[in-house]
Amino acid sequence: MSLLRSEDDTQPWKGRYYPYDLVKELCIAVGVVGLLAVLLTVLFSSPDDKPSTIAQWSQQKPADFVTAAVKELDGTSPTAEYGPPYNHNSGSVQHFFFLHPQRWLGVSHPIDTEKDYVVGPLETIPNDPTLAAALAQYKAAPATQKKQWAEAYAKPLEETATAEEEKKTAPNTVSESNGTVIVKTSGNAGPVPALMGSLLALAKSGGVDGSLLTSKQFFQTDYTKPLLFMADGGLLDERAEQQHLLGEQWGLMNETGSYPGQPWLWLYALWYQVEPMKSSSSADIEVLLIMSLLSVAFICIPFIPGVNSLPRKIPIYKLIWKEHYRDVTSA
Amino acid sequence: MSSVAPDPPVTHAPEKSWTVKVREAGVAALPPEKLLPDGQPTYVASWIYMFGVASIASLIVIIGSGSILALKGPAWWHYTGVGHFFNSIHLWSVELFFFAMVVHLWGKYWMASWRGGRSRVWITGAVTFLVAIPCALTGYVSQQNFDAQWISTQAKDAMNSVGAGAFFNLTNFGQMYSYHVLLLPIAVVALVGAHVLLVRKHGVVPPFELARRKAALATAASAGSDGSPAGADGGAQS
Amino acid sequence: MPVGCPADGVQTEQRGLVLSPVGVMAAVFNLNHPAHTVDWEFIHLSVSNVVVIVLMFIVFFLAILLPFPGATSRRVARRRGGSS
Repeated sequence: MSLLRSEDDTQPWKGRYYPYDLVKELCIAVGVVGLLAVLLTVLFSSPDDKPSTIAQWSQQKPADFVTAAVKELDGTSPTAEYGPPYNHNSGSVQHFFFLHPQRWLGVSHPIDTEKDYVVGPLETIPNDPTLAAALAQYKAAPATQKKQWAEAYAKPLEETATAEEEKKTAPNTVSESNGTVIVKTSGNAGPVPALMGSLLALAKSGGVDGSLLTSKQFFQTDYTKPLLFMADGGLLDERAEQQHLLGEQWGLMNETGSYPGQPWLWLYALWYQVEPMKSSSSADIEVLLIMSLLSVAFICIPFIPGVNSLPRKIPIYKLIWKEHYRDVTSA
Repeated sequence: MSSVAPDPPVTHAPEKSWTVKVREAGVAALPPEKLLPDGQPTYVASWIYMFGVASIASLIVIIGSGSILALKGPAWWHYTGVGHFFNSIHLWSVELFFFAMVVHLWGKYWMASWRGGRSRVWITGAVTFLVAIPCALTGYVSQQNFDAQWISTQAKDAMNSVGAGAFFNLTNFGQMYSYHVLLLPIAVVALVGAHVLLVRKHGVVPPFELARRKAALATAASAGSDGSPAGADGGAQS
Repeated sequence: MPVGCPADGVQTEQRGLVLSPVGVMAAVFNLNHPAHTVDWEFIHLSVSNVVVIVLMFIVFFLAILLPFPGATSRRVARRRGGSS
């Protein structure tokens, strides 16, 4: 610091003062800003796109819902494979070289996707002997058998989803009829089709939304489970793409509709578009580390040689203090 | 009969009285004329100086509109016109807040306003900007609409990647609403308060000395050491 | 495009996008449509964000160029040895 202070020859101001009413200035500023906010409100209002529900998801995209649900069942969904803070897997554990801070605080919000998203909600359905039998058969089976059943059911659904994504002709193994999804499995799927059929019907009625919110206690404000379930499907992504909210669309700067979003996040968004972060599976931690460093540098601008002397070299200050310099030089 | 209490009597409190120490330190650092001066240096002569107070004014409108939204609860604005109106004011005042802060920051950078022992003014300002960002983020995820669903499910990956997701859960509406309505605004207001008090303490940063004027002063100073008067402008710069 | 509101006030939905009719009716300009973007190489910014950023620059330069009121008061202070 003493190295830099020697270049700072700023002396306390011993010159003239003129009357300046700070309180009036603040009152005027509040009035002007208030009026400006009201004007912008009258001109443009604000966006309020209604949230998606699991009921809507299952009604609008039943095959997509069932695809996500069977992956929750067999533990291959993004949430099931995520890792901390939801479980002990590592599918989405990011790292920076040998640092894995995602693991440091463990599993603080445990989610058992098989139980929380499929078995648990189905167990709330009363008076359905067919479902009860299917559930009993599933729960009694060993883990390897469960996995085989679920994979047999999931395979045609995944192939169809991939074909649709790549805009190719989908194999004729998945169809929808009367609100149900019919899957032609090549292997034995056991009770899984019955479970998925019941889950789809429950979801359409709103029962899964309710079940995921009240499972812990009556009063609930934590939407982690329903949100992660929906995020494992395609509905939120589809809506986000329409609204230019995806990562490759610089979405983190954007608001829904044509409203201004968060332009001050431009630098944060920029790093996600450049290599190696663009194609990295640890992009988030990499970008956050870069931005943390830059934020510390921003705070420490007064102490960074070169950066702290640039204002002296590029004389924008002469425009700001033009009246002062005119007076001083004429004196 | 006056309802105003008479001045408290002198109690000769011991020197170790914390109250006396706090009061004397406060008054020493910021006597009333410094805390609320009625004048500014003559070099405060640009519209760029308005963007600090514009930022504060925006913050006041944010807190005002936010308080009205808080009075009726987080769902109100979705189903009434008046609620939507105040939500819109809240959103636009946030845009104005960041707009004013960025212009203020640009102005202060090009003035090198950390000079003359004012580095803490810069630091508190920079930290205010950085703390305002998560304050806005918690607001966005508290909207209880599609935007909130999307932002929370995306940004949670960033929080989780650095381990913060274990104690800062963007998909937990209750937690995020608490941070947004109470904890982070307190932090922002405290930082803005510290920033403004530091500006009052140090004064607004004076202009750079012009190079030729520096040379002239240096010449005058060396002539003055022989007994001649120093400086062409009696006191514009020491 | 999304439909409006049935009489009972329940929001209908089409492709998951629902407008609050109160918000739309209150606005002079309807911004509830997917944004237009400014695209250049890998940069894709929404027009509204670009407008805000451009406005920041314009306002900054206007702020440092436009004369500030009170010049007479300051001139008097400099010449007479003004307040404080």
